[in-house]
This record gives sequence, structure tokens and C-alpha cells, in this order.
Amino acid sequence: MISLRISPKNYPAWPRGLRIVWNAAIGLAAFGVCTGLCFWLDGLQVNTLNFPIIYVLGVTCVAVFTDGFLYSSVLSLVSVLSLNFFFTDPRFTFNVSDRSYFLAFFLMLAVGLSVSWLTFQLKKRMAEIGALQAEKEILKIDSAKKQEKATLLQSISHDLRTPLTTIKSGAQTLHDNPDLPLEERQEILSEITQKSDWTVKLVENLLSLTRIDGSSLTIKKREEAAEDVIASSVRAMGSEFGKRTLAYDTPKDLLLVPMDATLISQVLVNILTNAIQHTKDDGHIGIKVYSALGFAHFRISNDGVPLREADLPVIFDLYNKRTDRSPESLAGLGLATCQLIVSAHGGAISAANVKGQVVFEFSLPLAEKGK
Amino acid sequence: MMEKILIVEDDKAIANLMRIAFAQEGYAVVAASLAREGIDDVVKDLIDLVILDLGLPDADGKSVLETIRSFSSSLPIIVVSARTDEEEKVRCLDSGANDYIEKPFSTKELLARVRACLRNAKNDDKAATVFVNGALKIDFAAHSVFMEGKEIHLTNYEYKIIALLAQNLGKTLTHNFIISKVWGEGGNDSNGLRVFMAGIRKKIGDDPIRQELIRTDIGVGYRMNKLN
Repeated sequence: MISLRISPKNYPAWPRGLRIVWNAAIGLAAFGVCTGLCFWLDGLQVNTLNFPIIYVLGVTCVAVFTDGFLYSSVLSLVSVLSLNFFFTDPRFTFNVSDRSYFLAFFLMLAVGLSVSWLTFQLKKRMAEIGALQAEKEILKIDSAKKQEKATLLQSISHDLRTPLTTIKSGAQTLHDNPDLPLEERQEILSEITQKSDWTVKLVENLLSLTRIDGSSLTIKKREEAAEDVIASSVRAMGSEFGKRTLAYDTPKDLLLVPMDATLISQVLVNILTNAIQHTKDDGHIGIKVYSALGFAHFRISNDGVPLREADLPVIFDLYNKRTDRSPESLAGLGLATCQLIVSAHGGAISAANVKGQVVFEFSLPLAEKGK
Repeated sequence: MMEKILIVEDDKAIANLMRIAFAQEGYAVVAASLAREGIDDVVKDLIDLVILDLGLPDADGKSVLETIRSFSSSLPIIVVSARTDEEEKVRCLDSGANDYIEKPFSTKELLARVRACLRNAKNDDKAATVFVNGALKIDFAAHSVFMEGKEIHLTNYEYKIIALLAQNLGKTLTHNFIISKVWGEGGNDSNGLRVFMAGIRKKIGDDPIRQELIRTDIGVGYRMNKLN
């Protein structure tokens, strides 16, 4: 196994000129170190036969740490000349006393060039392998996304099947038993109505998700009055509030907020539905709207069951594993839809327990981006 | 005399449920599943109101709307559609639909809209000089508005808007329609209108969230609800 740390990166941030200087500096430094080392060993009377090996080592280092194979090849040639000039008799001339040195020089040059070439090839392969691995990572993420989609569809189908079963079997029971007592008929009919309302809500959420372009998360914004969007979602909830009291606190002056009103109504409906599920029949729900620091804030609070601390980090996840997931909750789709819609608007959403109140708050930017 | 409703809807189950609901309320019902049949019925029969589904197999519902409007400007038409699209709503209302209802709707809501539409068609007495709706009273001759007997001082434009809504009680008026009637074509924009609406609500004391008297249909327009 080759354990040399060969970086496939080519210092991409460096301009070409600086890279040439850097590579040349490495080459010169290697040459200096090798030659210096040889002079020192020569002084200790070490056999000059060892010197070519020292130079080849230098060439190898340069081949590893510079781009391409030009610098190491040049160093191979310079090394032969340096060995000839400094360390073969007669010293400090390019003349050679023994002709057999030529063979040694030739072999040294051949080994140096081979090392340069082989290292260069190795680096190229390593870079290719790196690119392949990066590609594999991307494919892996893609398939994870596909898996997530499949899981989502599976969960939705499952969650649709439950109310549809009630509707279907309820209708069939009514059809097959014309003599059913009035009380039981009423019970079945109200179940059917409730379950169809639930199904409609789920489908509305799915439709909302399709209104947001998946890849770019873009939406069509238009300025709408904050009070109008609240009025429209409260109206959409119909009689669901029952005996619960609903308190509003809206700004005195008309607050116009750029938004896709259908989607923001959906967010409010989902949060209010959630609030109704977790409050008593005579509970209190509050809606407050205010503007601060360039954002419109919508704060929906209720005095119902506090959120479990363990649920808070995952509360806006698609099909989260909340501990309190009841069959009536919007199948883990409701709050996740809220988050997707709010972030597509460039805002933020949060959930918290504050002084005995369960508080959902989301913000929408008042100025449109790019304007 | 029994009022006659024409249902133009290709889905048999929905048409059937509507037929039962209308019959229970004492209306006579005619049903057509194709646009062509629907137009024929309007021409041949004495129809008081049309329920028109937009997704018909043989023609675009909007072209049916325009065809009917080409020979009858006063016949009430309620459009039914499965698409939640404000632009489509605006197009339908601007090309002459009296109201718009989305699928899935509740029978209760449908019946309420039908009642409001028929009442409007009958009370199309623009000559009336005094209008009363709940605590609201408008004296068209004197250009004055009263809430619970107390006169409310409105600006000229505010008065024009509330009078227009009152004359079209129960009908959603689109932004463009209101602007063209009050200021003239292009005389104001939707945001300007919103500001005027907020002002009117404040002066007449209509809760901006409950919107009991004047209701906003987001992205579409405004309507005055019939109060008891």
C-alpha cells in the first residue's frame, strides 16, 4: 500500500505565476539540501558512491510536492551535472577522469526521470480516484433523497388510508342497514364528515407543497394585509374552535406583508389546528401580529398541553417521531409544511413553551429580496 | 312560484347530491352534464340560477360563462371549481360570474350562496334610496351612512366604496371592478384600495379579523355580507 500523502489538490486558489515560483522554490531548496548534505558527508570522508542516491531521494521529493513532472526532471539533470562538477575527479570541472562514471551518470539520470514520471502518473490516478469518490457521494445523497420521497409517499398513503376506511365502511354500513337507529346513523355520519375534513386538510397541505418549486424554493409573493390573511384562515377553520376563546392583537396601522397568501393561510391553519388539538374545550388561543426589524411576526399562543422538550428539536421535521403523535395530528405533514413555506418566504419559524403558554412564532420579511 | 336551478356538472355523484340538496330546499332542478346541454337549457327553459362547473368535458367552463352572458346579463351564475387559484376566481368574476365556490364545498355553504344570489337578483332595485343591512343604514339620496343610528362621516371615496358593496350585497367584487367604478380605470391600485378598506372598517367598527360586514377574499376582492 502506498501511504504517501499525495494531495490531488492543485492549490486551486493560487494564480499560475505564483505556482511556478513555488514549484521552482521547492526544486531549488531540494537541490540545495542535497548538495549541502553531500558536501558535509564528503567532508566526513563518506564514499561519493552514496551521493547519487541522495540526489534521487531529492528528485522523488520534488516529484511529489510539485505540479507535473517538469521540475523533478530538470532536477534529475541538474543533479547529474552537480555530481559531475562537485564530487567527481577532477573536481570543479565538467571533465571526467574515469569513463565508467558516464554509465553511473546515465543510470542516475534514467532513475531520476523514471521516478518523476511514475510519481506524476500516480498523482494523476489519485486525483481521478478522488473525483470518482466525490461522484459516488453525490449519487449516495441522490438515492437518500429518493428514499426520503418514497418514505414520504408511503406515510401519506398510509395516513390517507385510515380516514378513508372510516368513510368507506361508514357509508357501506349506512347503505346496508337502512333500519339503523337514528342515534347510530348520526354518529356514523359525523365520523364520515370529520374524516373527510381531515382528508381535505391533508390534501390541501400536499397542494401547498407542490406550489413551492422543489429545487429553488421560490414562490409568488404579493403584498397582503396581515389581518386579511388571519381572517381568512380563521374563517377556513369554521366551527373547529368550538368553545375556545380566540384573542387577536393586530397593529393599529394596516400592515402589508409580501407573501403567497394561500400558503401563509395554510401555515396559520396548521398551527391553529395544532393548537386546538392540544387545548381543552374551553381553552384560550391568541394571535398577535407585530412588525420589528424589517420582519412581520405572527405569534400564535395557547394555554394547552406544553410541548415535550424532547420533541422541540424535531417538531418541524417531515414525519417526525414525536412522542405525542395522535391519529388526529396532521400526519407529521402539517408543521413540516409550515417550515417549508416560511423558509421559502425567507422567514423563520419556532416553537417553544413560554410561561405556561405554547408559542409558535413565525416571521416574514417585509422587504422583498432584490428590490 | 318555485325557483328553478340549472346544474351544469359532469360528475354524476356531485350533481346528484346537489340535486337532492336543492330539492330539499324547495327548488326545482334541471341537470346538464355537458356545456352544450347547459346552454340549450338556459335558452329553452326559464332558469333562475345556474351552477356551473368549470371542468366540463366538451368545453371550457369560462366559454360557457361568456356565452350565457352574451344573451343574458342578469341570470345569476355560481361557478364551481376544484382549483384553488385566485387568478381564475378573478377571471370568472370579471367575466360575469356572480359567485365562486371551491370543491370540496359543504352543502350548507352552497345553499347559503344560492340563497344570497337569488335574493340579490330579486332585489336588484337600484332605485331604492335607503339600504339597511344589520346595524348599517345607507341613505343613497343623502350620501350618508349610519351605524346603529349614528351617522358615520366617510370621505367621498369611502362612501363610493361602501355604497358599491351595498348595491352588490353578497357578491364578491374584484379589486379591478371596485377601482374602475370608484376611481375610473387605473385610478388606483390594490394597495391603495386596501388602505381605504382598512379605513372604512375602522370607521364603521367592523372587526378586521372577524370581518362580519365586509369580508376580504384574498387576492380576489371584497364583499358585503348579508346581516340579520
